[in-house]
Amino acid sequence: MKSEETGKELEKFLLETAGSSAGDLEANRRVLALFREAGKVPPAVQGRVLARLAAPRRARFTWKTDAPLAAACSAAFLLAFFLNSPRAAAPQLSPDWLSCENFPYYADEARMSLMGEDADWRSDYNFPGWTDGRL
Amino acid sequence: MDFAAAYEAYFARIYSYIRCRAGGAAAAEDLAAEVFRKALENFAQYDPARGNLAQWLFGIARNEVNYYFRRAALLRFLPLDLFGDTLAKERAPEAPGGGADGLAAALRRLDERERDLIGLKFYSELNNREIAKVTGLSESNVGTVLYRCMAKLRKELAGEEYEK
Repeated sequence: MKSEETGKELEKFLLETAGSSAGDLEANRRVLALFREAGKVPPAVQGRVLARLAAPRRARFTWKTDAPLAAACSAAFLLAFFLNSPRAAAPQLSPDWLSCENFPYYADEARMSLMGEDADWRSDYNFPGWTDGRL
Repeated sequence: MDFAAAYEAYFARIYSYIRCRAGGAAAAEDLAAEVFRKALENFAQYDPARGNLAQWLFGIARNEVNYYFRRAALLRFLPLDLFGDTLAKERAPEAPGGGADGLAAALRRLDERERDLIGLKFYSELNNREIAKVTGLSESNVGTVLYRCMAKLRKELAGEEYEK
């Protein structure tokens, strides 16, 4: 507090809140004294804070100055995410996708192809003859 | 009044007000530094026509303490808050200056608004109208809260249990 004398405003405040009770006024003064006692600040604290004011301020994030940067980073992140997501990947086509082998005509051929049968599964040697039963 | 004079005149009062509300000495020192840093940066923009210097400085202090509480509440909400206990301890008001335990206990019985107003009244020495301008409350509301607050403090410090 700025001086030992009770400021006019505080004196008025103590009187108003005590009403007409002398006991309450005395109690108010005790409260004020406690606040005054608690308000004594060690000089070292004042010196430390002054030193901090003199030191350069470390960078702090504030929306006003850093919002464009934050928006740009968010946009870059979202762009990278969506460009690299699986849906964005082009379907993989083999160079021989036009080959007739990739478009089986008959249902059985298609099924055999999809089941991963050998390319020569249609060879006559794989189908035993009806006469002798040999491959 | 230049900034250096304002610093000398108001530092103790601002620091004590912050300690009254925020509690811990370390937090009070950080907040006081931030208050005066903002005051220094904006000192040229201070307009005496809008209010006296005490109103201006205590307005900055009040906003800084409110912001500190909002950040603390957000940290308690987030599951990554590893220092919740520390913050909770910092939140509990101690006696400013490390003095009277009775005053500290009495301050703990007050709610946030009462601590704010009683701290402003005793440390800024502003009248009710000026406090109303700083806090955004009506003058009559400030008077009523302060009256009840003093009644509570009298009863607490006289050793009687205050029954709400």
